[in-house]
Amino acid sequence: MTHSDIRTQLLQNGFCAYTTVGASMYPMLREGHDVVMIRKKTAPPRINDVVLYDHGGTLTLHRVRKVTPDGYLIRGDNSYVDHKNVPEEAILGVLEFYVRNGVRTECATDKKYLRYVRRRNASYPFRLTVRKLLGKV
Amino acid sequence: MKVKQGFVLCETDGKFVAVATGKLAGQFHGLITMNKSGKFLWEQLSEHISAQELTERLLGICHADPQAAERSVHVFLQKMQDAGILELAEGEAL
Repeated sequence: MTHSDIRTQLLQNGFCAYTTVGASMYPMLREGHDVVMIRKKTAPPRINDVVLYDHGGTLTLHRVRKVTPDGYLIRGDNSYVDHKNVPEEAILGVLEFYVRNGVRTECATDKKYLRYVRRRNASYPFRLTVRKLLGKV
Repeated sequence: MKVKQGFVLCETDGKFVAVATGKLAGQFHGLITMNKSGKFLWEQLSEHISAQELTERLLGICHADPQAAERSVHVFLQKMQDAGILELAEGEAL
């Protein structure tokens, strides 16, 4: 699905579903396999929401890490690059659920998913340090 | 005929949405939105079935005029074929 299609679907239906491209949200989302359901933004996104936003003309699906007076700090679960000061207007939608191997995971309520988010957040400093030591960041 | 393998079907807002995954996602970029009857037909098409059998099964779950049901099934199948997501058996036509 093209970026234009995604924008159109969000505008027309209030939602959009597609399979993701890229590995920046791995291991939560596997490229080309898992289906994400994006709901058009109706309220300011919160920390840990996975949001679809316009980053220099490219639609990106990453997780909100911080909300600052200058905007949102957003980064993928498998990414080590922060997108800082993302304005709320750039955020088009929020991940409502995803489907992996036929299993639907609700992001707001699924306990296993919420545990994953906590673990992934907690392990970030360690993962970042290791990558720095390996010269990969 | 049957629907091509590789779609994931999910529900939101009372609508059913089919999304292509894997290799199929490279060929089919759209989003298929269906109502409850459409979802029923879609599920029946997970294995080879004729249009007539499909109509009979649809009539088995809803009280509809047989001719109207036949037309609805034909329109549904035609849309699927136009989208290139329907697999026809050898010698089979809509």
